[in-house]
Amino acid sequence: MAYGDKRNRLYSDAFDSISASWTNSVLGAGAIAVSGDGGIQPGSVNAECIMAYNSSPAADQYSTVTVQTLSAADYNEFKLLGRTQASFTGYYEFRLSSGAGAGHKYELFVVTSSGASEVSIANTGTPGALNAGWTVTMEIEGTTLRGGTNEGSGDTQQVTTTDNTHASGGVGIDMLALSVAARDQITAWEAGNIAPIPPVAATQLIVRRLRTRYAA
Amino acid sequence: MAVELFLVPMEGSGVRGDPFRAKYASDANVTAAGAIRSSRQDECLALIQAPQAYLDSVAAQADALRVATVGNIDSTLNQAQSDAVRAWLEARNIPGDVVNVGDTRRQALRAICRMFFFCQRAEGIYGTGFKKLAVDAGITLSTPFSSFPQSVQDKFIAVRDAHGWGNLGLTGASTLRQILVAVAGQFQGIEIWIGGVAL
Repeated sequence: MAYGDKRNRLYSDAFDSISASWTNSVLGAGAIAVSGDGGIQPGSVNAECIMAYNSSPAADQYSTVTVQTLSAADYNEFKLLGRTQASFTGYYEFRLSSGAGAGHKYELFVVTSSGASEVSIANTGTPGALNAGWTVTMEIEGTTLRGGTNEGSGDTQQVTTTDNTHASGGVGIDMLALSVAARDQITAWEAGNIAPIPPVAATQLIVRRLRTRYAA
Repeated sequence: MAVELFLVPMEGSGVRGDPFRAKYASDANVTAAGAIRSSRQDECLALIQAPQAYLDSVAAQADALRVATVGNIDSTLNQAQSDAVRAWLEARNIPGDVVNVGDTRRQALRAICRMFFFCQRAEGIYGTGFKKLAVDAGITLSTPFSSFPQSVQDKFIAVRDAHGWGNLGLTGASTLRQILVAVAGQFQGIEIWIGGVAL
């Protein structure tokens, strides 16, 4: 399937609070906090802040965040984590980062075991900031990883590669800011499976549409 | 901006600001990159997008081998080109058998990646890619499975089982060379992307 196909949402969060559906401050990392004006942000500066969702989608999975901003003024970044392993010993990540004058960079990484094991497997850059309401998505389907954004002109794949390190696992969010002013915010999150709509569900959808048509 | 594919070592320490990555792929000249690795600490196939002068400088490095450009990826390897790829691989305990005269560059690169995919899963489970794990234990491409240390045998079986495969026709007499070729065959037909380019 191509980027954007067959996303079936299972979980979502608008972050009025950080609910019990999340494990915050994973593995001793900093905590992610609810921000004063809606959404979430790193709870501390100059530290990785990570939280993991307590339920896992299927191996073929996606997660999407809506950003409030990703400033180009100071270094900050956030990462969508996928196929997180037990005890967070490994995972895939789609990272968006920015730095003064450096523009934004889209990067796919794999972390292969606990400790220092971050591996860059694909990256590309593009200038400009991320604006409020834009979305960032990571898809993992089989051995294909895709990262994409909706930068006001449609949900578009930005980077892709193939990797076979992790077969399945959970989802999470990792945020980092090097200054208080640079703390980026996420206002919504969702995750789910990448899969064709089951035949029964598709049939039910057709019946519902026919009923709606004839009722009118 | 030109795009070319190289066989290169990995570099980096895995920490923030210095991730493991394809050597020559993080230079300021590079505008996009991708890496399909055997493991984070040995070798990879790298896609590098950069000005042609920079790509030519990478090709001149002793530890790098330029295998294809986007323009010639479907052209065939002649004897000298095939020999060069095989020599680079064999020098790093990667079977060169999977590359032959008359193969297109795309076919050769896909064959190499398929071996790497199995090694990656071992890295996901044990923190070390399978080929590196074997070489670190003193195993060469000619060593039969029955002579592998027990721990390496167990890890191979665990990674094989994680893929849901059977014996793949392998026996205790099968060498590391035969094993890597056999597991690569299980990824036949897989869709392979590197840095946004389909192989």
